[in-house]
Amino acid sequence: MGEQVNPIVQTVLTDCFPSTSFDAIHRIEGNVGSLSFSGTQRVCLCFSGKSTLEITVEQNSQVAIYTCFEQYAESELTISCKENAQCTNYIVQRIDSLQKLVVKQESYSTYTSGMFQLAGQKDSIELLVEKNGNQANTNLYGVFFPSKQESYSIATRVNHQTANCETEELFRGIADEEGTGSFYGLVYVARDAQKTLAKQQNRNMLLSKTAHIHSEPQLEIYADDVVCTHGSSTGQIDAEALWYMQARGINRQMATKLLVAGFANDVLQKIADENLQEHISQQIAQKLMEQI
Amino acid sequence: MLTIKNLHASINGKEILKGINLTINPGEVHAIMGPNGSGKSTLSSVLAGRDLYEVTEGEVLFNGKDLLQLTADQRACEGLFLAFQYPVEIPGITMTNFMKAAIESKCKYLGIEPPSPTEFLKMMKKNSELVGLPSKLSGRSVNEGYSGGEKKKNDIFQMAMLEPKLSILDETDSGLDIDALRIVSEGVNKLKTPENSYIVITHYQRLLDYIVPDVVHILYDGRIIKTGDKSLALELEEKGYEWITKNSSEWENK
Repeated sequence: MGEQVNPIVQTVLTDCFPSTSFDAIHRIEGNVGSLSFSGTQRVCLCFSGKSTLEITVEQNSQVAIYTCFEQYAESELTISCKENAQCTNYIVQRIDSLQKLVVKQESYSTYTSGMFQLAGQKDSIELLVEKNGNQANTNLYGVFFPSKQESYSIATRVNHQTANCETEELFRGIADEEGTGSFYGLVYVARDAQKTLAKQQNRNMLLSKTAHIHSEPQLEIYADDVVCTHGSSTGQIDAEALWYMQARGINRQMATKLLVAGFANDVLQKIADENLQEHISQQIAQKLMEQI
Repeated sequence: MLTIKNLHASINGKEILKGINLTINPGEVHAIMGPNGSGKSTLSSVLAGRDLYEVTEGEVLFNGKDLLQLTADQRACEGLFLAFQYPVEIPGITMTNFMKAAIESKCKYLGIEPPSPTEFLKMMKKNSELVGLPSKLSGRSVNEGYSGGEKKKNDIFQMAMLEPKLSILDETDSGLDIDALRIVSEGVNKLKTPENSYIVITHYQRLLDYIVPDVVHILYDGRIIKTGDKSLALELEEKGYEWITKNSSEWENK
Protein backbone atom coordinates (compact mmCIF):
# COMPACT_ATOMS: atom_id res chain seq x y z
CA MET A 1 0.00 0.00 0.00
CA GLY A 2 1.40 3.31 -1.06
CA GLU A 3 5.17 2.69 -1.05
CA GLN A 4 5.56 2.85 -4.77
CA VAL A 5 3.09 4.15 -7.34
CA ASN A 6 2.10 1.25 -9.51
CA PRO A 7 1.66 1.96 -13.24
CA ILE A 8 -2.11 1.36 -13.23
CA VAL A 9 -2.59 3.83 -10.38
CA GLN A 10 -0.38 6.30 -12.22
CA THR A 11 -2.68 6.09 -15.27
CA VAL A 12 -5.74 6.79 -13.11
CA LEU A 13 -3.99 9.74 -11.46
CA THR A 14 -3.04 11.23 -14.83
CA ASP A 15 -6.66 10.90 -15.85
CA CYS A 16 -8.20 12.35 -12.69
CA PHE A 17 -5.66 14.68 -11.10
CA PRO A 18 -2.97 15.42 -13.70
CA SER A 19 -1.48 18.53 -12.09
CA THR A 20 -1.73 17.68 -8.41
CA SER A 21 1.22 16.38 -6.43
CA PHE A 22 0.57 14.22 -3.39
CA ASP A 23 2.34 13.63 -0.10
CA ALA A 24 1.07 10.06 -0.17
CA ILE A 25 -0.74 7.78 -2.59
CA HIS A 26 -2.65 4.78 -1.23
CA ARG A 27 -4.06 1.96 -3.29
CA ILE A 28 -7.09 0.59 -1.46
CA GLU A 29 -8.19 -2.96 -2.16
CA GLY A 30 -10.24 -5.19 0.14
CA ASN A 31 -10.72 -4.44 3.80
CA VAL A 32 -7.83 -2.19 4.59
CA GLY A 33 -8.63 -1.22 8.14
CA SER A 34 -7.81 2.30 9.16
CA LEU A 35 -5.55 5.21 8.35
CA SER A 36 -4.90 8.35 10.30
CA PHE A 37 -3.80 11.72 8.94
CA SER A 38 -2.49 14.69 10.85
CA GLY A 39 -0.72 17.97 10.19
CA THR A 40 -1.07 19.43 6.71
CA GLN A 41 -1.09 16.97 3.89
CA ARG A 42 -2.56 16.03 0.55
CA VAL A 43 -3.24 12.35 0.00
CA CYS A 44 -4.68 10.28 -2.80
CA LEU A 45 -6.81 7.18 -2.37
CA CYS A 46 -7.22 4.96 -5.39
CA PHE A 47 -9.93 2.33 -4.85
CA SER A 48 -10.12 -1.00 -6.57
CA GLY A 49 -12.86 -3.66 -6.32
CA LYS A 50 -14.79 -4.06 -3.09
CA SER A 51 -13.02 -2.19 -0.37
CA THR A 52 -13.55 -0.61 3.02
CA LEU A 53 -11.48 1.94 4.82
CA GLU A 54 -11.73 4.12 7.90
CA ILE A 55 -9.90 7.40 8.04
CA THR A 56 -9.29 9.68 10.98
CA VAL A 57 -8.44 13.29 10.28
CA GLU A 58 -6.74 14.30 13.50
CA GLN A 59 -7.43 17.35 15.65
CA ASN A 60 -6.32 20.72 14.18
CA SER A 61 -5.05 19.11 10.99
CA GLN A 62 -5.63 20.20 7.40
CA VAL A 63 -5.96 17.26 5.12
CA ALA A 64 -7.02 17.06 1.49
CA ILE A 65 -8.18 13.62 0.38
CA TYR A 66 -8.41 12.97 -3.36
CA THR A 67 -10.45 9.90 -4.25
CA CYS A 68 -10.38 8.05 -7.56
CA PHE A 69 -11.16 4.57 -8.84
CA GLU A 70 -8.96 2.09 -10.63
CA GLN A 71 -11.52 -0.34 -12.00
CA TYR A 72 -15.07 -1.21 -11.06
CA ALA A 73 -15.02 -0.28 -7.41
CA GLU A 74 -17.50 -0.48 -4.58
CA SER A 75 -15.93 1.38 -1.77
CA GLU A 76 -17.04 2.17 1.72
CA LEU A 77 -15.14 5.00 3.28
CA THR A 78 -15.62 6.47 6.72
CA ILE A 79 -13.99 9.78 7.52
CA SER A 80 -13.89 10.99 11.12
CA CYS A 81 -13.07 14.68 11.40
CA LYS A 82 -11.74 15.39 14.87
CA GLU A 83 -12.09 18.73 16.63
CA ASN A 84 -11.06 21.70 14.47
CA ALA A 85 -9.96 19.43 11.62
CA GLN A 86 -10.25 20.85 8.12
CA CYS A 87 -10.90 18.10 5.62
CA THR A 88 -11.26 18.62 1.89
CA ASN A 89 -12.39 15.63 -0.11
CA TYR A 90 -12.43 15.53 -3.92
CA ILE A 91 -14.11 12.57 -5.56
CA VAL A 92 -13.59 12.08 -9.28
CA GLN A 93 -15.46 9.19 -10.89
CA ARG A 94 -14.30 8.32 -14.38
CA ILE A 95 -15.09 4.62 -14.46
CA ASP A 96 -18.07 2.72 -13.08
CA SER A 97 -17.96 3.00 -9.34
CA LEU A 98 -20.02 3.24 -6.22
CA GLN A 99 -18.67 5.28 -3.38
CA LYS A 100 -20.38 5.01 -0.02
CA LEU A 101 -19.17 7.63 2.33
CA VAL A 102 -19.86 8.33 5.97
CA VAL A 103 -18.46 11.52 7.46
CA LYS A 104 -18.47 12.10 11.21
CA GLN A 105 -17.75 15.64 12.31
CA GLU A 106 -16.71 16.84 15.74
CA SER A 107 -16.89 20.45 16.96
CA TYR A 108 -15.35 23.21 14.85
CA SER A 109 -14.45 20.81 12.08
CA THR A 110 -15.06 21.59 8.40
CA TYR A 111 -15.68 18.98 5.75
CA THR A 112 -15.70 20.22 2.15
CA SER A 113 -16.41 17.87 -0.70
CA GLY A 114 -16.18 18.26 -4.48
CA MET A 115 -17.82 15.42 -6.40
CA PHE A 116 -17.41 15.03 -10.12
CA GLN A 117 -19.08 12.43 -12.30
CA LEU A 118 -17.94 12.96 -15.87
CA ALA A 119 -17.21 9.51 -17.32
CA GLY A 120 -18.13 5.86 -16.77
CA GLN A 121 -21.39 4.03 -17.43
CA LYS A 122 -22.74 4.09 -13.92
CA ASP A 123 -21.36 6.31 -11.17
CA SER A 124 -22.90 6.66 -7.73
CA ILE A 125 -22.04 8.50 -4.60
CA GLU A 126 -23.93 7.99 -1.35
CA LEU A 127 -22.88 10.38 1.33
CA LEU A 128 -23.98 10.60 4.93
CA VAL A 129 -22.72 13.41 7.14
CA GLU A 130 -23.23 13.22 10.91
CA LYS A 131 -22.54 16.35 12.88
CA ASN A 132 -21.76 15.44 16.45
CA GLY A 133 -20.38 18.73 17.72
CA ASN A 134 -21.01 22.46 17.72
CA GLN A 135 -20.07 24.63 14.77
CA ALA A 136 -19.25 21.75 12.51
CA ASN A 137 -19.50 23.05 8.95
CA THR A 138 -20.12 21.13 5.77
CA ASN A 139 -19.79 22.20 2.15
CA LEU A 140 -20.89 19.84 -0.57
CA TYR A 141 -20.25 20.75 -4.19
CA GLY A 142 -20.72 18.63 -7.26
CA VAL A 143 -21.13 18.45 -11.01
CA PHE A 144 -22.53 15.43 -12.85
CA PHE A 145 -22.67 15.17 -16.62
CA PRO A 146 -24.16 11.96 -18.04
CA SER A 147 -24.48 11.51 -21.79
CA LYS A 148 -25.09 8.59 -24.20
CA GLN A 149 -26.58 5.89 -21.94
CA GLU A 150 -24.66 6.92 -18.85
CA SER A 151 -26.38 7.03 -15.49
CA TYR A 152 -25.02 9.05 -12.60
CA SER A 153 -26.40 9.65 -9.15
CA ILE A 154 -25.52 11.58 -6.05
CA ALA A 155 -27.42 11.07 -2.81
CA THR A 156 -26.56 13.05 0.26
CA ARG A 157 -27.93 13.19 3.75
CA VAL A 158 -26.65 15.70 6.28
CA ASN A 159 -27.74 15.20 9.87
CA HIS A 160 -27.67 18.25 12.08
CA GLN A 161 -27.81 16.88 15.63
CA THR A 162 -26.12 19.81 17.35
CA ALA A 163 -26.51 23.58 17.43
CA ASN A 164 -24.76 26.31 15.41
CA CYS A 165 -23.73 24.20 12.45
CA GLU A 166 -23.71 25.28 8.81
CA THR A 167 -24.21 23.34 5.60
CA GLU A 168 -23.91 24.56 2.04
CA GLU A 169 -24.83 22.31 -0.88
CA LEU A 170 -24.42 23.33 -4.49
CA PHE A 171 -24.93 20.83 -7.30
CA ARG A 172 -25.10 21.25 -11.05
CA GLY A 173 -26.34 18.55 -13.41
CA ILE A 174 -25.89 18.56 -17.17
CA ALA A 175 -27.42 15.76 -19.23
CA ASP A 176 -27.10 15.08 -22.94
CA GLU A 177 -28.31 12.40 -25.39
CA GLU A 178 -29.88 9.60 -23.31
CA GLY A 179 -27.99 10.36 -20.14
CA THR A 180 -29.71 10.10 -16.77
CA GLY A 181 -28.69 12.01 -13.71
CA SER A 182 -30.14 12.08 -10.27
CA PHE A 183 -29.66 14.23 -7.23
CA TYR A 184 -31.14 13.42 -3.89
CA GLY A 185 -30.34 15.64 -0.95
CA LEU A 186 -31.73 15.63 2.53
CA VAL A 187 -30.84 18.03 5.29
CA TYR A 188 -32.14 16.74 8.60
CA VAL A 189 -32.29 19.19 11.50
CA ALA A 190 -32.92 17.60 14.91
CA ARG A 191 -34.78 19.37 17.70
CA ASP A 192 -31.61 20.39 19.49
CA ALA A 193 -29.90 21.68 16.37
CA GLN A 194 -30.89 25.32 16.92
CA LYS A 195 -29.26 28.12 14.89
CA THR A 196 -28.65 25.77 12.01
CA LEU A 197 -27.84 27.49 8.73
CA ALA A 198 -28.43 25.24 5.73
CA LYS A 199 -28.53 26.09 2.06
CA GLN A 200 -29.20 23.51 -0.60
CA GLN A 201 -29.33 24.19 -4.32
CA ASN A 202 -29.49 21.91 -7.34
CA ARG A 203 -29.74 23.34 -10.85
CA ASN A 204 -29.83 21.21 -13.96
CA MET A 205 -29.54 21.68 -17.67
CA LEU A 206 -30.88 19.27 -20.27
CA LEU A 207 -29.14 19.39 -23.63
CA SER A 208 -31.35 16.88 -25.43
CA LYS A 209 -34.99 15.80 -25.41
CA THR A 210 -34.07 12.28 -24.34
CA ALA A 211 -31.93 13.26 -21.34
CA HIS A 212 -33.36 12.92 -17.83
CA ILE A 213 -32.53 14.43 -14.50
CA HIS A 214 -34.30 13.63 -11.25
CA SER A 215 -33.90 16.16 -8.51
CA GLU A 216 -35.11 15.76 -4.96
CA PRO A 217 -33.87 18.33 -2.51
CA GLN A 218 -35.41 17.88 0.92
CA LEU A 219 -35.46 19.49 4.30
CA GLU A 220 -36.65 17.80 7.47
CA ILE A 221 -36.66 20.26 10.33
CA TYR A 222 -37.57 19.72 13.98
CA ALA A 223 -35.87 22.79 15.48
CA ASP A 224 -37.61 26.18 15.47
CA ASP A 225 -34.75 28.67 15.27
CA VAL A 226 -33.04 27.83 12.00
CA VAL A 227 -32.44 29.29 8.53
CA CYS A 228 -32.78 26.61 5.87
CA THR A 229 -33.34 27.05 2.17
CA HIS A 230 -33.52 24.69 -0.72
CA GLY A 231 -34.09 25.06 -4.41
CA SER A 232 -34.09 23.05 -7.57
CA SER A 233 -34.53 23.92 -11.22
CA THR A 234 -34.19 21.98 -14.42
CA GLY A 235 -34.29 23.60 -17.82
CA GLN A 236 -32.86 23.71 -21.28
CA ILE A 237 -30.13 25.89 -22.62
CA ASP A 238 -31.38 29.47 -22.75
CA ALA A 239 -32.46 30.10 -26.36
CA GLU A 240 -32.33 33.89 -25.88
CA ALA A 241 -28.75 33.75 -24.60
CA LEU A 242 -27.79 31.50 -27.51
CA TRP A 243 -29.34 33.95 -29.97
CA TYR A 244 -27.61 36.93 -28.35
CA MET A 245 -24.25 35.20 -28.66
CA GLN A 246 -24.85 34.13 -32.26
CA ALA A 247 -25.77 37.71 -33.10
CA ARG A 248 -22.31 38.66 -31.84
CA GLY A 249 -20.59 36.24 -34.22
CA ILE A 250 -20.16 33.27 -31.88
CA ASN A 251 -21.31 30.08 -33.58
CA ARG A 252 -23.88 27.79 -32.02
CA GLN A 253 -21.39 25.13 -30.99
CA MET A 254 -19.05 27.60 -29.29
CA ALA A 255 -21.95 29.46 -27.68
CA THR A 256 -23.34 26.21 -26.23
CA LYS A 257 -19.91 25.34 -24.90
CA LEU A 258 -19.54 28.71 -23.21
CA LEU A 259 -23.04 28.60 -21.71
CA VAL A 260 -22.56 25.12 -20.25
CA ALA A 261 -19.11 26.04 -18.95
CA GLY A 262 -20.59 29.13 -17.33
CA PHE A 263 -23.32 27.01 -15.78
CA ALA A 264 -20.83 24.56 -14.25
CA ASN A 265 -18.53 27.39 -13.27
CA ASP A 266 -20.84 28.51 -10.46
CA VAL A 267 -19.84 25.35 -8.62
CA LEU A 268 -16.28 24.95 -9.91
CA GLN A 269 -15.23 28.32 -8.56
CA LYS A 270 -15.86 26.96 -5.08
CA ILE A 271 -13.07 24.42 -5.58
CA ALA A 272 -9.92 25.56 -3.81
CA ASP A 273 -7.54 23.45 -5.91
CA GLU A 274 -7.27 25.61 -9.03
CA ASN A 275 -5.51 22.92 -11.04
CA LEU A 276 -8.36 20.53 -10.42
CA GLN A 277 -10.89 23.27 -11.17
CA GLU A 278 -9.22 23.88 -14.54
CA HIS A 279 -8.97 20.16 -15.29
CA ILE A 280 -12.65 19.49 -14.56
CA SER A 281 -13.68 22.49 -16.61
CA GLN A 282 -11.60 21.21 -19.55
CA GLN A 283 -13.13 17.76 -19.25
CA ILE A 284 -16.63 19.22 -19.37
CA ALA A 285 -15.69 21.21 -22.48
CA GLN A 286 -14.15 18.12 -24.07
CA LYS A 287 -17.20 15.99 -23.36
CA LEU A 288 -19.40 18.68 -24.90
CA MET A 289 -17.29 18.77 -28.05
CA GLU A 290 -17.69 15.01 -28.41
CA GLN A 291 -21.48 15.36 -28.25
CA ILE A 292 -22.04 18.25 -30.62
CA MET B 1 -24.02 48.18 -48.67
CA LEU B 2 -27.47 46.63 -48.22
CA THR B 3 -30.14 45.93 -50.79
CA ILE B 4 -33.46 44.42 -49.76
CA LYS B 5 -35.78 43.33 -52.55
CA ASN B 6 -39.37 42.29 -52.00
CA LEU B 7 -38.68 40.68 -48.61
CA HIS B 8 -41.48 38.56 -47.19
CA ALA B 9 -41.18 36.83 -43.81
CA SER B 10 -43.53 35.01 -41.49
CA ILE B 11 -43.61 33.45 -38.05
CA ASN B 12 -45.74 30.37 -37.32
CA GLY B 13 -47.39 30.76 -40.70
CA LYS B 14 -48.39 34.39 -40.08
CA GLU B 15 -46.96 36.82 -42.60
CA ILE B 16 -45.35 39.84 -40.92
CA LEU B 17 -43.19 41.35 -43.64
CA LYS B 18 -45.13 41.74 -46.87
CA GLY B 19 -42.60 42.93 -49.41
CA ILE B 20 -39.91 45.25 -48.08
CA ASN B 21 -37.70 47.16 -50.51
CA LEU B 22 -34.79 49.16 -49.15
CA THR B 23 -31.35 50.27 -50.30
CA ILE B 24 -28.72 51.58 -47.93
CA ASN B 25 -25.46 53.10 -49.17
CA PRO B 26 -22.20 53.34 -47.22
CA GLY B 27 -22.21 56.12 -44.64
CA GLU B 28 -25.99 56.54 -44.58
CA VAL B 29 -28.25 56.60 -41.54
CA HIS B 30 -31.74 55.29 -42.19
CA ALA B 31 -34.51 55.55 -39.63
CA ILE B 32 -37.39 53.13 -39.71
CA MET B 33 -40.45 54.30 -37.81
CA GLY B 34 -43.81 52.72 -37.41
CA PRO B 35 -46.58 51.91 -34.97
CA ASN B 36 -46.46 48.82 -32.74
CA GLY B 37 -46.96 45.60 -34.66
CA SER B 38 -45.90 47.07 -38.00
CA GLY B 39 -42.97 44.64 -38.33
CA LYS B 40 -40.04 46.82 -37.20
CA SER B 41 -38.52 44.28 -34.83
CA THR B 42 -39.26 41.42 -37.23
CA LEU B 43 -37.28 43.21 -39.92
CA SER B 44 -34.26 43.59 -37.63
CA SER B 45 -34.47 39.96 -36.46
CA VAL B 46 -34.78 38.66 -40.02
CA LEU B 47 -31.80 40.71 -41.17
CA ALA B 48 -29.71 39.52 -38.21
CA GLY B 49 -30.68 35.90 -38.92
CA ARG B 50 -32.95 34.76 -36.11
CA ASP B 51 -34.24 31.33 -37.12
CA LEU B 52 -37.68 31.82 -35.56
CA TYR B 53 -38.69 33.63 -38.75
CA GLU B 54 -39.14 32.09 -42.16
CA VAL B 55 -38.26 34.12 -45.20
CA THR B 56 -40.84 33.16 -47.81
CA GLU B 57 -39.82 35.45 -50.65
CA GLY B 58 -37.29 38.07 -51.63
CA GLU B 59 -33.59 38.75 -51.59
CA VAL B 60 -31.11 40.57 -49.36
CA LEU B 61 -27.63 41.49 -50.57
CA PHE B 62 -25.05 42.65 -48.04
CA ASN B 63 -21.87 43.95 -49.69
CA GLY B 64 -22.63 41.73 -52.66
CA LYS B 65 -23.23 38.58 -50.59
CA ASP B 66 -26.52 36.72 -50.30
CA LEU B 67 -27.26 37.52 -46.67
CA LEU B 68 -30.12 35.05 -46.33
CA GLN B 69 -27.78 32.12 -47.03
CA LEU B 70 -25.62 32.96 -44.00
CA THR B 71 -26.20 31.90 -40.38
CA ALA B 72 -26.62 34.59 -37.73
CA ASP B 73 -23.03 34.27 -36.51
CA GLN B 74 -21.68 34.44 -40.08
CA ARG B 75 -23.68 37.61 -40.69
CA ALA B 76 -22.19 39.16 -37.56
CA CYS B 77 -18.70 38.20 -38.71
CA GLU B 78 -19.43 39.78 -42.11
CA GLY B 79 -20.02 43.07 -40.28
CA LEU B 80 -23.71 43.17 -39.43
CA PHE B 81 -24.56 44.23 -35.90
CA LEU B 82 -27.87 44.20 -34.06
CA ALA B 83 -28.26 46.30 -30.93
CA PHE B 84 -31.05 44.55 -29.03
CA GLN B 85 -34.23 46.14 -27.79
CA TYR B 86 -33.85 43.91 -24.75
CA PRO B 87 -30.19 42.87 -24.30
CA VAL B 88 -30.00 39.37 -22.84
CA GLU B 89 -28.47 38.42 -19.48
CA ILE B 90 -25.98 35.56 -19.63
CA PRO B 91 -25.12 34.15 -16.21
CA GLY B 92 -21.73 32.49 -15.80
CA ILE B 93 -19.96 34.24 -18.71
CA THR B 94 -18.00 37.37 -17.94
CA MET B 95 -18.15 40.36 -20.25
CA THR B 96 -14.42 39.94 -20.96
CA ASN B 97 -14.75 36.29 -21.97
CA PHE B 98 -17.86 37.00 -24.00
CA MET B 99 -16.16 39.80 -25.93
CA LYS B 100 -13.03 37.74 -26.39
CA ALA B 101 -15.07 34.88 -27.90
CA ALA B 102 -16.86 37.32 -30.22
CA ILE B 103 -13.65 39.02 -31.43
CA GLU B 104 -11.86 35.71 -31.88
CA SER B 105 -14.79 34.27 -33.85
CA LYS B 106 -14.76 37.27 -36.16
CA CYS B 107 -10.98 37.14 -36.70
CA LYS B 108 -11.14 33.41 -37.40
CA TYR B 109 -13.96 33.92 -39.90
CA LEU B 110 -12.07 36.68 -41.68
CA GLY B 111 -8.79 34.77 -41.51
CA ILE B 112 -6.97 37.52 -39.64
CA GLU B 113 -4.81 37.50 -36.53
CA PRO B 114 -6.79 38.19 -33.32
CA PRO B 115 -5.57 41.08 -31.13
CA SER B 116 -2.98 40.25 -28.47
CA PRO B 117 -4.24 40.16 -24.85
CA THR B 118 -2.73 43.60 -24.26
CA GLU B 119 -4.32 45.08 -27.38
CA PHE B 120 -7.63 43.45 -26.47
CA LEU B 121 -7.64 44.96 -22.97
CA LYS B 122 -6.77 48.37 -24.42
CA MET B 123 -9.74 48.12 -26.78
CA MET B 124 -11.98 47.11 -23.89
CA LYS B 125 -10.87 50.11 -21.84
CA LYS B 126 -11.09 52.63 -24.67
CA ASN B 127 -14.57 51.54 -25.74
CA SER B 128 -15.93 51.32 -22.17
CA GLU B 129 -14.93 54.95 -21.73
CA LEU B 130 -16.51 55.87 -25.06
CA VAL B 131 -19.96 54.78 -23.89
CA GLY B 132 -19.47 55.61 -20.22
CA LEU B 133 -19.63 52.03 -19.01
CA PRO B 134 -17.87 51.41 -15.67
CA SER B 135 -14.89 49.14 -16.41
CA LYS B 136 -15.62 47.06 -13.31
CA LEU B 137 -18.55 45.55 -15.21
CA SER B 138 -16.15 43.67 -17.50
CA GLY B 139 -15.49 41.14 -14.76
CA ARG B 140 -19.20 40.52 -14.19
CA SER B 141 -21.50 38.20 -16.08
CA VAL B 142 -22.92 39.63 -19.32
CA ASN B 143 -25.74 42.09 -18.52
CA GLU B 144 -26.42 40.41 -15.18
CA GLY B 145 -27.37 42.98 -12.58
CA TYR B 146 -26.92 45.84 -15.08
CA SER B 147 -29.44 48.65 -15.02
CA GLY B 148 -31.59 49.18 -18.13
CA GLY B 149 -29.34 52.03 -19.25
CA GLU B 150 -26.17 50.00 -18.65
CA LYS B 151 -27.51 47.17 -20.79
CA LYS B 152 -28.09 49.51 -23.72
CA LYS B 153 -24.68 51.14 -23.25
CA ASN B 154 -23.21 47.66 -23.15
CA ASP B 155 -24.70 46.87 -26.56
CA ILE B 156 -23.19 50.05 -28.01
CA PHE B 157 -19.90 49.13 -26.33
CA GLN B 158 -20.02 45.76 -28.13
CA MET B 159 -20.74 47.58 -31.36
CA ALA B 160 -17.63 49.71 -30.82
CA MET B 161 -15.57 46.58 -30.16
CA LEU B 162 -16.78 44.71 -33.24
CA GLU B 163 -16.56 47.68 -35.68
CA PRO B 164 -19.48 46.59 -37.87
CA LYS B 165 -20.20 47.87 -41.38
CA LEU B 166 -23.94 48.01 -40.79
CA SER B 167 -25.54 48.45 -37.38
CA ILE B 168 -29.20 47.98 -36.69
CA LEU B 169 -30.34 49.74 -33.54
CA ASP B 170 -33.62 48.09 -32.55
CA GLU B 171 -35.53 50.56 -30.35
CA THR B 172 -32.35 51.38 -28.51
CA ASP B 173 -34.15 54.37 -27.00
CA SER B 174 -36.84 52.32 -25.26
CA GLY B 175 -36.41 52.38 -21.51
CA LEU B 176 -33.64 54.98 -21.60
CA ASP B 177 -33.75 58.18 -19.59
CA ILE B 178 -32.63 61.36 -21.27
CA ASP B 179 -29.03 61.21 -19.98
CA ALA B 180 -28.52 57.60 -21.01
CA LEU B 181 -30.09 58.40 -24.37
CA ARG B 182 -27.61 61.23 -24.88
CA ILE B 183 -24.61 59.08 -23.93
CA VAL B 184 -25.70 56.20 -26.14
CA SER B 185 -26.32 58.58 -29.08
CA GLU B 186 -22.98 60.32 -28.60
CA GLY B 187 -21.32 56.89 -28.66
CA VAL B 188 -23.06 56.05 -31.93
CA ASN B 189 -22.12 59.41 -33.46
CA LYS B 190 -18.47 59.01 -32.47
CA LEU B 191 -18.40 55.63 -34.19
CA LYS B 192 -19.82 57.00 -37.42
CA THR B 193 -17.49 56.97 -40.41
CA PRO B 194 -18.07 57.66 -44.12
CA GLU B 195 -18.05 53.87 -44.65
CA ASN B 196 -20.37 52.44 -42.01
CA SER B 197 -24.14 52.63 -42.10
CA TYR B 198 -26.97 52.52 -39.58
CA ILE B 199 -30.56 51.45 -39.47
CA VAL B 200 -32.21 53.13 -36.52
CA ILE B 201 -35.51 51.55 -35.60
CA THR B 202 -37.64 53.64 -33.32
CA HIS B 203 -41.17 54.36 -32.32
CA TYR B 204 -40.46 57.95 -31.33
CA GLN B 205 -38.84 60.92 -33.01
CA ARG B 206 -36.87 61.74 -29.82
CA LEU B 207 -33.83 59.54 -30.66
CA LEU B 208 -33.56 61.19 -34.09
CA ASP B 209 -32.76 64.55 -32.44
CA TYR B 210 -29.48 62.92 -31.41
CA ILE B 211 -28.80 60.48 -34.24
CA VAL B 212 -29.79 62.48 -37.30
CA PRO B 213 -31.02 60.30 -40.17
CA ASP B 214 -30.40 60.86 -43.88
CA VAL B 215 -33.53 58.94 -44.81
CA VAL B 216 -36.70 58.19 -42.86
CA HIS B 217 -38.99 55.27 -43.76
CA ILE B 218 -42.41 54.57 -42.36
CA LEU B 219 -43.22 50.91 -41.92
CA TYR B 220 -46.85 49.92 -41.67
CA ASP B 221 -48.41 46.48 -41.90
CA GLY B 222 -45.23 44.85 -43.17
CA ARG B 223 -44.50 47.36 -45.93
CA ILE B 224 -42.60 50.62 -46.24
CA ILE B 225 -45.38 53.00 -47.14
CA LYS B 226 -43.55 56.31 -47.13
CA THR B 227 -39.95 57.48 -47.43
CA GLY B 228 -38.63 60.99 -46.89
CA ASP B 229 -35.92 63.04 -45.21
CA LYS B 230 -35.69 63.82 -41.51
CA SER B 231 -38.64 66.22 -41.69
CA LEU B 232 -40.89 63.19 -42.19
CA ALA B 233 -40.09 62.07 -38.65
CA LEU B 234 -41.07 65.48 -37.31
CA GLU B 235 -44.28 65.46 -39.30
CA LEU B 236 -45.09 62.00 -37.96
CA GLU B 237 -44.41 63.13 -34.40
CA GLU B 238 -46.71 66.08 -34.86
CA LYS B 239 -49.59 64.30 -36.59
CA GLY B 240 -49.35 60.97 -34.79
CA TYR B 241 -49.54 57.43 -36.13
CA GLU B 242 -53.23 57.83 -36.92
CA TRP B 243 -52.11 59.99 -39.81
CA ILE B 244 -50.46 56.94 -41.34
CA THR B 245 -53.23 54.47 -40.79
CA LYS B 246 -55.67 56.86 -42.45
CA ASN B 247 -53.48 57.58 -45.44
CA SER B 248 -51.68 54.28 -45.88
CA SER B 249 -53.73 52.97 -48.80
CA GLU B 250 -53.47 56.27 -50.60
CA TRP B 251 -49.64 56.45 -50.20
CA GLU B 252 -49.16 52.88 -51.23
CA ASN B 253 -51.01 53.35 -54.47
CA LYS B 254 -48.64 56.11 -55.53
